Amino acid sequence: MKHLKLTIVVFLLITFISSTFAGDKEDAEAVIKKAADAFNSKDYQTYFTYLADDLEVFTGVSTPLLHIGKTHWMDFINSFGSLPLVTYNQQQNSIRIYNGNTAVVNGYFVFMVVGKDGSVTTQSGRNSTTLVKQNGKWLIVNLHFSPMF
Amino acid sequence: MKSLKITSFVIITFLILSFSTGLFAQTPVSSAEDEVIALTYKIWKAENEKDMAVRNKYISDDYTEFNPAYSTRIEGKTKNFNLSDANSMGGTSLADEMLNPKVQVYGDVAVLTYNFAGVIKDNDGKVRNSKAKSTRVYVKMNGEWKLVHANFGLDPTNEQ
Repeated sequence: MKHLKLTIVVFLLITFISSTFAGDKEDAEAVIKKAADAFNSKDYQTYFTYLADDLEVFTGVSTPLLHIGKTHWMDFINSFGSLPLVTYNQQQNSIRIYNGNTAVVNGYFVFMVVGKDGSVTTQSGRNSTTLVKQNGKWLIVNLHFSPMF
Repeated sequence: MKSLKITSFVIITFLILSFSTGLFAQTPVSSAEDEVIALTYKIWKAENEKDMAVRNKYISDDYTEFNPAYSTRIEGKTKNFNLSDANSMGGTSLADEMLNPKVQVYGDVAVLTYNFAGVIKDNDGKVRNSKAKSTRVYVKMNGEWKLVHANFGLDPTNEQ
């Protein structure tokens, strides 16, 4: 009887721990998806809510320099506003959770820009995203986009 | 007698304060920022000296990497080491430097970004430059920083 109780407690504990970490993974992935959805629909104000104030970004080809701070990145993103279409789609994400408060996500993206003259430019690449849970909310603190070819 | 006691107390307090101040001044506490930068140089040194035991110690088993040589993610420490060990036979690193390093620290996680600048001597004796935009994610596990992910992105100006 004692062993049965112990087994049940251990089982419940494992289930709880597993579900907690599975939840973090899903939550972090949901933030990545929601951020991309907002970006693709040009709802940049919503997109910015998923970013931490101390965000840092390395872009693929635009500059060898690091974008330091959310404001700097917002200026860059807002410059897309006048273009007819700008989309970002990411797939095959690897998501790992560390210490219950950090998510290391990496996947492959296709970035497409339609210029005012109708010209279409696409760039394929690899993305590394780090998210940190702050006050119960997952926020993107670091992005690194590197070209695939 | 009372004034002697007060004087003794003041002297002892002064000595204790002087000692503890001196002690702290001699043993500065290294910050997480300094630790991960120093660790990255340590990993480079170990790789250059083929000291794989040291390198292995600071790379997590579930390590993932993006680099300019391969299009897709290299998953796991073993696959990464197989490739990097073979690649290292193609030349010798003469210098590895980290330019513009920046570290974001969130408890037991540190994200290090920098512009990599290196000099490589090929096996045919030709010396060439190497540069990249790099991001490394370190996680502290059992009191030690371990590298869990890196994105070594090509600096596009290389090719222009």
